[in-house]
Parts: sequence; structure tokens; C-alpha cells
Amino acid sequence: MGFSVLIRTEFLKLRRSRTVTVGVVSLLAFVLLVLWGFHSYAAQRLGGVSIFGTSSGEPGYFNGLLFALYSLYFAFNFIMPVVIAVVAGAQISGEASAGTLRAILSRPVDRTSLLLSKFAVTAMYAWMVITGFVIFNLVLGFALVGWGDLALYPGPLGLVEEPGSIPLRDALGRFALATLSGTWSLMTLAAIAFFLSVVTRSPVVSVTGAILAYMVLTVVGRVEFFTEIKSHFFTTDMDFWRIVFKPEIPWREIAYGASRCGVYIFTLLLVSAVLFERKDITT
Amino acid sequence: MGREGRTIKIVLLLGIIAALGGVRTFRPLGAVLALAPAIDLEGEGRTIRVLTWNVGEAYGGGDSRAKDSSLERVAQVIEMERPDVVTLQELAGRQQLGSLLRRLGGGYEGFLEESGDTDRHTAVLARGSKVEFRALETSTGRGASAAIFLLARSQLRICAVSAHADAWDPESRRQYARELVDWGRRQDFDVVFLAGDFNFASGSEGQADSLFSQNQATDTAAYAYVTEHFRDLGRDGGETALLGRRIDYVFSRGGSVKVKRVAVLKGQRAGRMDHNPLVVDVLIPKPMILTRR
Amino acid sequence: MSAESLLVTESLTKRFGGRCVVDGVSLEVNRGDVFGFLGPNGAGKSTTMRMILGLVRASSGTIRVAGIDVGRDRRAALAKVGAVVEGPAFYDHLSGWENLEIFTALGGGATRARMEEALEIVGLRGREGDPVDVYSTGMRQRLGIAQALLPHPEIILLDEPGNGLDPRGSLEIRALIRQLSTDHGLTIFLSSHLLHEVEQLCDRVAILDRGHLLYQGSVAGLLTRASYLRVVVESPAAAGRFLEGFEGVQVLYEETGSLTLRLSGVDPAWVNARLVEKGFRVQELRQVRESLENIFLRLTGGEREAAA
Ligand SMILES: Nc1ncnc2c1ncn2[C@@H]1O[C@H](COP(=O)(O)OP(=O)(O)O)[C@@H](O)[C@H]1O
Ligand SMILES: [Mg+2]
Repeated sequence: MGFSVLIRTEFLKLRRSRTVTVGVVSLLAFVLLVLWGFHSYAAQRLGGVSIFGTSSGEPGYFNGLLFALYSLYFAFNFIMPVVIAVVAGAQISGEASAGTLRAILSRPVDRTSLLLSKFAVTAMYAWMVITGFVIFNLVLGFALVGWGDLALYPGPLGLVEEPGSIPLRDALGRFALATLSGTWSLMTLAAIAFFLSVVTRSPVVSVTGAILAYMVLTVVGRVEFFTEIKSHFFTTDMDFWRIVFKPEIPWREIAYGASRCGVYIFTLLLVSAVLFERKDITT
Repeated sequence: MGREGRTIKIVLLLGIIAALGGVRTFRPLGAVLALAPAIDLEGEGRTIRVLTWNVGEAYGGGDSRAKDSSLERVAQVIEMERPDVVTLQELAGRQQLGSLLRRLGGGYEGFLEESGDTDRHTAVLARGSKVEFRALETSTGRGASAAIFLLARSQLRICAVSAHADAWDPESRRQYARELVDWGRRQDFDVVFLAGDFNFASGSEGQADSLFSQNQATDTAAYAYVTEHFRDLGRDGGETALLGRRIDYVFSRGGSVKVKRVAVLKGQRAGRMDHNPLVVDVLIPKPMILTRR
Repeated sequence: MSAESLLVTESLTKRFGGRCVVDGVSLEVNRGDVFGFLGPNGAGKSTTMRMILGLVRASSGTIRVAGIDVGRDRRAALAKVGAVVEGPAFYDHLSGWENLEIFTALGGGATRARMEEALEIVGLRGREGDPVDVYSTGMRQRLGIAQALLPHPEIILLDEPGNGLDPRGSLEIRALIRQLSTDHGLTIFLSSHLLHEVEQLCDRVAILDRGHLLYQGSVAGLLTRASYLRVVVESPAAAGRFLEGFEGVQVLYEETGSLTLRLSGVDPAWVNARLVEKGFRVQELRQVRESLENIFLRLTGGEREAAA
């Protein structure tokens, strides 16, 4: 039996799963929240002028692209990792606690193939979620706020030292690139959640474990005291995804960040595969 | 373990090796990746509060220098406002500074300049880090006190000068102001505050008789010279001393500092004092702090 | 091991952190058997089944399914096995049909017609579109059996199929299992802690207690082994003392007017002849069969006997 069959069945399981529904709904709700904030902030900055419905007018700083970028950035800080970790962290432990794992493994399947197909599906799921999220934001941003070049200012994103901008066509390409770098970045967290789901019996433990590790290191990494040691945090490596939005694409730095994430991902998967191969399924 | 499983494990192992190779190969040269930026604890920037106060008394009642009995009030106002820098004028001597610092309980470091040939002295109090003090002398025979310190959690060097120009002689005032301004310009500070009682009778206030107008002309020139190189931050505060006079100033130089608040604290005078304290809050914008890192 | 044996374990042992849960169990299930694996809760039945399915690694011993060593080539061995381990588990948010699709895909897939046939056999036809969420315990058990049937296995492993079912439900499941054996020629290995379930379904049994195999053989053999001779005689105490002197006679107990014996290698007529020779007046000789329930309780009640 091929790998593709495993992938198909894993997708079948994800379809209509409650975790996925909750994840998608919370992402949509999050976009609306960001939209509200963006709108009210822009209104305050522009002296009460609404940014909505200006698609025909001047392409300004507050445009759909900027909205999408901020929305994506803030989603990546918290909600996106959670949405991915709940799926990744439940992959093995969730099935173990539900008892379906013993049913699957009573069939003639290769354990390592099963594990990898689950991870591959998690990755595809992450890519689809991110891509859907980006498209939704861009469409919403364009429809409600309008077009324009992507303006970058020195600010929380830390992308530029001096104000710069990315032309509209270029910027759309950057968003496409960000879906890939973002997926790879999130796979680091997914691999951690995955590993925990192999070594624990309860999905609650593996999911919260991964989310806590992410949150603690993210928050701590933002505090100045940890400036010196934060380069050892996996969360710092994960942050590479967004440098695709620098005015000049820093390919070398992207390759570096992706490689560092790759070390985590491949190592955790290999260790998970070896452990899973020898694991007694007693649930 | 099946063949499939072994193949996958070998692929994963190759993945680890490739990723480690990537880390080695693509390690950014020079500039470190600015990933996961620290949350900005500075907000928009850093605020510095400067309080200047001539704590002496009105002329006509004997010794017009600060009374020991006023020091309690001075300490109270400083406690209340918690300024980063306090510039005081017309202190009678070191004992008064010592007594004031004691009342403030060690929160401030202070300095009183005694080099000039007058019986009243300027003093400066500061609560920055690495504070140094300097006595400034001028050719007019009057001196000034300077405090130099680092703005907390930054590398910005700030200097604050407590000045007191002659009350009677406009030429002396002009010379005094000019020399302090020139001193401030020569130094390599990020921000210089020049604060104190300059006794300028400039502007619209005062009578238009010929004697006064000559004085006014001199003071106007002096003021013009100061503001050519410094900004007058207290402009919106209004009168600072009795009889509607605005004679206490906070000037600043260096950087694009913003004034966030100017206040003349009325009703804080003790005894026969004739000046009110002037408080100015200035914002040192973040870009300025950051570029100094 | 005969050519007929489909599932064979040899000295199968499992230790969980030093505690021996299954201890040297050697089973032999022949093609066409309905084999009952009997034992109280915690005896190690599920653990044994998990080892057969490769879910749990044996600490020592071997398992062969149709001659294929599970430890060496798990996938080839499992291709011949259909199983429902403990309670059947499904993806509850998906329909019965989708669940069947998922599980059969893992074994190489099945045609639509085959899936419909399996549903027909277990009597779930028409309910396959409902989410498993709404299935009753009996329906879940039957869907589990359908899942086990799909890949045309040679042997089906059922772990406590009657668990959690009401009397009617367990009756139906028993009928289904019998049908699988008779109509579809399947070999069935089922575990149970309920004697009557095994008694009604199985032709061969193994009894497991605290990881030890106490008996393996036909149900009939178990009953013969457990047959006694009741002797109604005038002075049972003296008769008992006399008979104890003979090889192959064990006095189990005396009551007023009667004596209960267990015989091995001697027959009742011989006993009668000895008693009459000695002048005891034998009024009645009766072969008594202990109920299976009693045998089971006696076997698993601490009194250890070597496996037959
Ligand atoms: N993962 C495990 N770790 C330790 N002990 C276990 C584990 N799984 C089962 N056991 C023990 O093994 C014994 C046999 O369990 P099991 O095979 O489920 O019995 P049965 O199915 O006959 O009721 C029980 O005493 C149980 O506590
Ligand atoms: Mg059991």
C-alpha cells in the first residue's frame, strides 16, 4: 500500500473534524477583530476619515496589503501556532486515547509510513490554512480598504530600518512566498507537538505542552533580558518566515532560518519515528 | 520494520544532514538576523522632567537668599513631581543643599557651585545613572552648576545647567547667557538643558519708558541669541514670578525632543519667595535613543 | 504444530516493567476452529491479542499466523487477520461507511461491492451513512466485525465481543459469530471472561489466569476431565479410606451416605468390583459432571494445575 493512500485517509479524518472547524472559525473571527482594530486605528490616524470604500481613491499607506501583512503577522504570534499545534499534537496521542490507533495498527501498515503521512498531512493542512488565511485577508483588505503598494515602516515588524515600500505586484508574490516560509516555520512547532504526541498518551498533554513551550519562549524572547540567549530558542528561528517581506528578499537569511528549522523538524521526526516503531500500543 | 520505514528514516537522516549543512553554509555574515524583536519597553520614547525654581525671596526684606525654613516646601515639591533634574537658584550655601538632599532621602545626587563672587548659588539635583557634576564659570563673575548623566537604559548623555543671571545689569545677563550657550554648543552632549532664572525683561511686559526700553533691547538680544541655539521649552507656561514676570526658563538643545507638558506650579511658594517652580516634561523620541545603542 | 494450525504462539511472554503479565503461553488455533480464550479480567487476554497483532512487542516467544512470523514480517502476517481489539474504536465524527473506507484502505482497499457485502453480513446495511456517534454499542461491535471481515482474512480476532451488550445484543453477536464460522468458513479466536459465551460458541478453549495457561483443548475434553464418580455406599468413611490406597483414585469428599471420587486411568466398574470384593454394599454408582462454571472457578480460583 502506498504512501498516497495513507495521506488520503489522513485527510479524510481531518475533514469535518471539530478541531479543524474550531481552528478555521477562530481564524476568521480573528481577521474580523484585526479589521476592526485596523479600521479604528487608521481612522484615528487619518483624523476620522474612514479607510473603507476608498478603493477608487488614493492608494494610501493604510491599504489592503498592509492590513493583510499585519493580520498575518499577529496571527502568527499566537493563533496560527495554536491552530496547528492542536492538529499536530493530537495526531498520535489523540488516536491513542480514542482507541483508533490500535485499530489502525492492527491493519498491515508500516508505522513509520503512517507517522510520516500524518506529518505530511499536517504540513499540507498548515499550508492550506495559511494560504486560505492570506487570500481571505487580501480579498477582504482589497474589497474594504483598497489597493496600493505595501509600505513598510520601522516598527514592530522590524523589517526595515528606514521607511520603504514593495510594489503591489511584487508584494503579492511575497505573500505567496510567505505561505511557504510560514508553513515551514510552523512545522517546527508541529514537529515538537508531534514528538510529544508520540511520547504521551493524552492529547491534552501533547497539545498544551507544545503550545506552552511556544508561548513561554515567544514571550520570554521578547523581553530584553533574554536578548543574549534568545538565539537558542526555536521560536526565534521560527520567526524567519516574515523576512520575505523585506524590500530586498534576503535569500541567504531565509535559507539559514529554514535550515535551522529543518534541523528541528527532521531530528524530531526521526526520533519520533524510532520511538513510535518500538512503542507498545496499550490504549 | 518494513523497507518503507527504513527508507523514510534514511530520508529523514539525510534531511538532518542537509539542514545542518544549510545552517553552516548560510550563516549570515556580519549582521545577525533581527528575528523575534524585543517588545519595545520604551514606548514612544523616554520622558525627562526638568524642574527649575529660584527659591530665593523677594527684595526689600533684608537677606533675599533662600531661608532654611523654605527647604521643607522645596523638598515636598520635588517629592511630588519627581523630576529627573532639578535646577535651583539663590541657595545660601552648601548646608542648604545638604539639608535638602537629606530630606529627599537619597533619591537624588546634588551639586552647588560656589566659584562665583556672589553670596547666592545655583545648584543642580539629578537622579540619572552615572551622574557627574561640573561648576561652570563665566567672565561676569557668576557661575552655574551642571549635571551630566546617562538617560536610564540608553546611551544618551544629558547635561542640565542651573543658571542664575544678574538681576540688575542687562549687559551682565547678556554676557552670562552667551557664555553658557557657547559652552553648551561646544560640548558633545546628546541633549543640553539650560534652565534657571535669567531675569530677562524682554517681551511686551514692563513700561515703555526710555530707560527700560534700553534694558529691554539688551535682554531681547540676549534672548534671541539663546533661542538661536536652544529651544525655549517653557514658552506656554506663562509667568513664573510675581508681578507677571516670565523670567525662569528651560532651554534645550540637541535632538528632536518634544514638549509634553509645561506647568508653573502656583501656590507652592513658601515664606516671601517670589518665584514659582517651572516644570517641563520632554519626550526624547525612540529613534534618537535607538541610534545611540 | 500440525498443518492445520493457523495461529500458533510459543512460550509467549510479556513483562510490563518487570511484572509478568503473560507467562509462557503456547496456543494453537486450528483452521476452522471457533477458539475461546477464557479468563477473568486482568488475566492477560487482551495483552496476548495485542501481541498477536503486533501492537505490543512480546518480551519473548514467537507468534505465527499461517506460518508467517509476526515478529519478522508483521505486515504479511496481519494481511491474513481481521481484528476487533477491546471496544471497537472509530472516528466518531465520520460515517460508518467512511470509517470502513479508512480502515480498509490501510489494508489495501476493498471494492464497493465487498463493503456492501460486509455490511449486509453484519446487518448494518442502510445505516452506513449515519455518523458513528449515534451508533449503539451493538452497532459499533458489528461495524467492527464488518471492518475485520473486509480484507478477506483467514482468521478473525475478537476481544470480548459480548462486552457492554444487553442480553439480546449479545445473543445477536453470538449468532453472527456462529454464522461467520459456518457460512463463511472463518477461523475465529475470541476472548471472553464469560463462560457461557464460550460454551455456546466454541469447540476449543484455552483458559488463562494471571498470565498462565491453565487448560487448552476441546470443550468436551474439559468436561470429561472434570467428571466424578458418586458412590452411594453404607459406610462411606471406611470405603473412602480403603479406596485411597489405589493408584488412580482420589477421594474428593465424603458426605453422609455417599462418596465423591475422581478417577484417572480406572473405570467405575473396576471401583465397583474392588468395593464389592471388600464387602462394601454399593447401592448406586453415578457419573457426575461438574458444571463448566464450577470448573472455571475452581481452575482460576488459585488451585493451579498444569496445562493439559
Ligand atoms: N501498559 C501496561 N503496563 C503495565 N501493566 C499493564 C499494561 N497493560 C496491561 N497491564 C496489566 O496486564 C494485566 C493483563 O491485562 P489485560 O491483558 O488487559 O487483561 P484481560 O484482557 O485479560 O482483562 C493486567 O493486570 C493489567 O493491569
Ligand atoms: Mg481485556
